[in-house]
Amino acid sequence: MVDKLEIGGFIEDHWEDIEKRVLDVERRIEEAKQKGKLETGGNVIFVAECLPFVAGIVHVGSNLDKFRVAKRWIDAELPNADAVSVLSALTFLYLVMEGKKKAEGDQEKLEKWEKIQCRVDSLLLPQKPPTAAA
Amino acid sequence: MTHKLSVFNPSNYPRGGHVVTPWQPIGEKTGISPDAFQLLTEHRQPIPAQVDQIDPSDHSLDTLAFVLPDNAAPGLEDYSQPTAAVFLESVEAPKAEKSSAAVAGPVGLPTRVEITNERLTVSFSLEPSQDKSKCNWFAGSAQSVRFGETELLDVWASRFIRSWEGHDLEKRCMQVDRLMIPMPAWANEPEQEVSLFNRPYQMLSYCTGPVRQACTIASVPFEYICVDPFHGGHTRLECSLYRTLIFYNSADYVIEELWLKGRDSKVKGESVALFFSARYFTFMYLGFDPVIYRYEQVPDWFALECPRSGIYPGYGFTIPGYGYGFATDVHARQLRYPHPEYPVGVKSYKTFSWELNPCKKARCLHLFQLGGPESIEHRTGHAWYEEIYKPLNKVELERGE
Repeated sequence: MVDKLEIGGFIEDHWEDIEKRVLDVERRIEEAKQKGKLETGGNVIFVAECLPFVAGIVHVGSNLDKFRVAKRWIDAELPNADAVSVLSALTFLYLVMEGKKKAEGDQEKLEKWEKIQCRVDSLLLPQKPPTAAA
Repeated sequence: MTHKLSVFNPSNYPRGGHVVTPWQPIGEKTGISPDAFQLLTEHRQPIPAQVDQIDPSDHSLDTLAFVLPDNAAPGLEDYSQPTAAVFLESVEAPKAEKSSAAVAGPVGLPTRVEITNERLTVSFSLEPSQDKSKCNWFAGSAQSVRFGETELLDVWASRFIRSWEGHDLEKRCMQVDRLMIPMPAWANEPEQEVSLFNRPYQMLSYCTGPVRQACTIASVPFEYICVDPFHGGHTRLECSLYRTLIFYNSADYVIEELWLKGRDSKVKGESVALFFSARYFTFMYLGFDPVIYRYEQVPDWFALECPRSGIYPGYGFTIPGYGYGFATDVHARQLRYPHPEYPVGVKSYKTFSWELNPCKKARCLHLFQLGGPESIEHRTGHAWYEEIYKPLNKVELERGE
């Protein structure tokens, strides 16, 4: 998806800022948890805080022609879905993978990105479809 | 001496808000100075009021503006029934906050007018260019419209990406980039086209008070030439487009009045109002798929929106909607998106243009919205009704006790 939008270069150019922004949200949620201000809902708040920012990356880093290509793909895969929301979610998943990859060798940072991956996966990845046994 | 001013509500529902009326007839009949008056309710509570000098060379345009403290009772659509009253009296010292032509009133550089209230800041370029670059096509445009720190003309860059990827320098709105002035029936061309995007404006007046700010600007003169059909002689008029930008305190819209004044350079002082049609140009990023609310049978207003999105269980929309609404009393022709003449194709999806029908004076409204529960479509239609179509603008003077 990032290839279709051609925002890989944009993300690379601004990685420092992107990472700082995502880790900042993670830090604030952790602090709130530690101070007892947040018992549940950390994952929801994290994703909801980050999604507009990730949508901003899609809007600013891409352009109309590339968006049209990506939208055609989404329309085929997920008819009736809101293209910007889906693109933002997929871009977010890409950012998490990039974060983990770039954090290799930095254990502390890697742990943060793994925690972020758990938050994101729990909310953005589709639930497993029910099986006949279930 | 107290004078009663009757206000006429043309709506079938109770209405309050801004009232505007020409000051000159009231000033002449009462002898009250625009700098020394107060408006009161029947219980003698002061009402925010001001007199604006719209064009220093034409006092017939001086305007009294005030805010009705209570809703006026419903009235008749033809403005034939007074439904509220306020009371005017002179005071010794100027009690109404003075509103006068101010050279240094607006904040900012002399090449720019920046008007601001508690919600919105609109930064208007008087010069074609604000720097030494060769980009000289910004005259008469709002190059920045801000809600707090969020730049509405480039929301994604300013709100979510912040400073690390600057705004699109092409962004602007409210720009009258071209005028079409009809030619006489015997002329070879039907209209004279005048480009205004590269023609500087000068500020004529800036008035401020407890109700609103009003700023009048005029384009540098250009020539309009008519040929005498029998003798071949030329009539040359020096013309300027006048634009008054009105910004109510706490409003998120700007009301604009436009008219075209022509002067015969040989006849001093006299001027004539000319027919014209203005074309508006906007460069504003409203997402990849902006929603356009425009109805062919309703040429009075339209709205453009980047819809809110990212519906999220338990959290609602994560991405706020925002948009721009336009309304006019002279009807707007077809909205063109993208603007077909925009030279940079890759960015043309951020451009919009539309033309007004020919008129001698136009009153337009530019509404800006960021977030909020109400749809911009509804808000623009309502603003058109209350501010453009049926404004509270009929006030009659009665002599009271």
